[in-house]
Amino acid sequence: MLAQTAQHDRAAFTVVYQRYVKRVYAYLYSRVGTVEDAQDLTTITFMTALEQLPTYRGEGTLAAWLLGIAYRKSVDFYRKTPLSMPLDRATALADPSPIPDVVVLQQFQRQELESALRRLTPERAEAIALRFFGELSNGEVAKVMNKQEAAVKMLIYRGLQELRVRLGIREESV
Amino acid sequence: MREEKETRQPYQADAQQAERLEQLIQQRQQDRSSNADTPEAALINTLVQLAATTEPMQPFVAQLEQQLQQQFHTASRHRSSPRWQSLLRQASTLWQQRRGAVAVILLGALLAGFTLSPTTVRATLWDWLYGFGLIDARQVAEQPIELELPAPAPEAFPLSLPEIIQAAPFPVQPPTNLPAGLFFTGGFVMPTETSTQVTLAYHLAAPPNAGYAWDAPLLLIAISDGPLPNRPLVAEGYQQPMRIGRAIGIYTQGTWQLATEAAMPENGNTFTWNPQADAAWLTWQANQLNYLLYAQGLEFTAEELVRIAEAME
Repeated sequence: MLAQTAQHDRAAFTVVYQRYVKRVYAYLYSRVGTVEDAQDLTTITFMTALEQLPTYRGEGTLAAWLLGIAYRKSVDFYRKTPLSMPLDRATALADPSPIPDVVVLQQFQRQELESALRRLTPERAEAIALRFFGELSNGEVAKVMNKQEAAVKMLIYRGLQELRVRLGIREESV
Repeated sequence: MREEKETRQPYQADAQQAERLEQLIQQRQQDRSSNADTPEAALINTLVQLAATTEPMQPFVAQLEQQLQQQFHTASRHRSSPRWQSLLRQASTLWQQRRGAVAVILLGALLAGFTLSPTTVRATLWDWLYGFGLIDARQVAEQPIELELPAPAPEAFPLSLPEIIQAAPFPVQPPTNLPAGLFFTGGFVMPTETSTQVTLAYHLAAPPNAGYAWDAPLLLIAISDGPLPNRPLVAEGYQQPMRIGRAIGIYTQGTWQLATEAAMPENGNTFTWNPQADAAWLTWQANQLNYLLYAQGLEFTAEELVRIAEAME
């Protein structure tokens, strides 16, 4: 309903944008690793969505449709860009209240996790990014990646196992 | 069988673990509780938290919103205009951006259509170009060429009509109607690597003992199931499209003739096209066969050649 209205109503389209920009950005940032590239891809995603909105027939959720566009743009991005990404970058933290050494620790852990995510095998990284950062359900992830739902669950499970190995998380560390 | 069962078990165990993990993820995303009693749960917590704290910068969000609103406004105006206007707009944009490429593509398509299309299309295009005065008869440059004009001798056409019809790999239909005085004097069937040509010769009189002179009145009919070998060389600019039944043929008046002594260079012979010469050519395609009618010394008009061609259907 919102998507249909958004085709003709600027205010409705603005609502769509405001509702989903964070998820689209978070997903793209988890995939590309730099603020500039994430912003570029977010812009391209929403511009494409605006052009293609008349073709959206309501199959699947609007979130899945938007993240499907973002997914295809990130695939194009990877085709044109080398896979290695610089590790030193800063991202805005939502919570300004923690004391400085906690901030530094959080920053380090964040960078370590982001780096490990990007070193996963591509399909696992994609599934985790869409599930966690895009906040899509398994069914929606399956639709975007053109896979069975069971296959997506397995990708996420194996991706998390691989992450644990890369981050050195063991049973006894809990 | 036992191996298969053993292989399946780890997969099934993984599938169960994956399902359990999915339940954890859903629970964590819904209530955002921070129970991290297993490494998996801790990792999921971290990922959920990381996702929640990955946000775009506000100036970027505001700027993109503005861009999108402008784009929305432009897109709405285009959507409300008639389809033909938006197509025209798209064509105009394409032309402005890719002028060179579009021009090359259009020219290439025109040339390809002209050279590769069936005779009917070429003739239609030719007719169209004639109509616009873009093609007219023009002087053909002198050029040294060796040209074999038809110079039939009795032995060159050894076969009778029944022999030709029997030997040809395709149906041969001689013209059922011919101008008075012309009669069949012989023919041949000439196979090549890729096709077979059938040639029928018609003269006004029986052959003299020494055979026909090279410029004796002659009607030659060639039919081939491939490109006609020794395809006649006609000068550019003298071809005219002619309707032959439902087909369209190409008619050319004239022939190559030896240049005058004054124009002859010291070495070699040169030929020029003489459109006034008593010679005419008509080519067309029908029933997947290529046809050529050549008439010399008979003062045939284009219409008479067309009637002979139509009498072959």
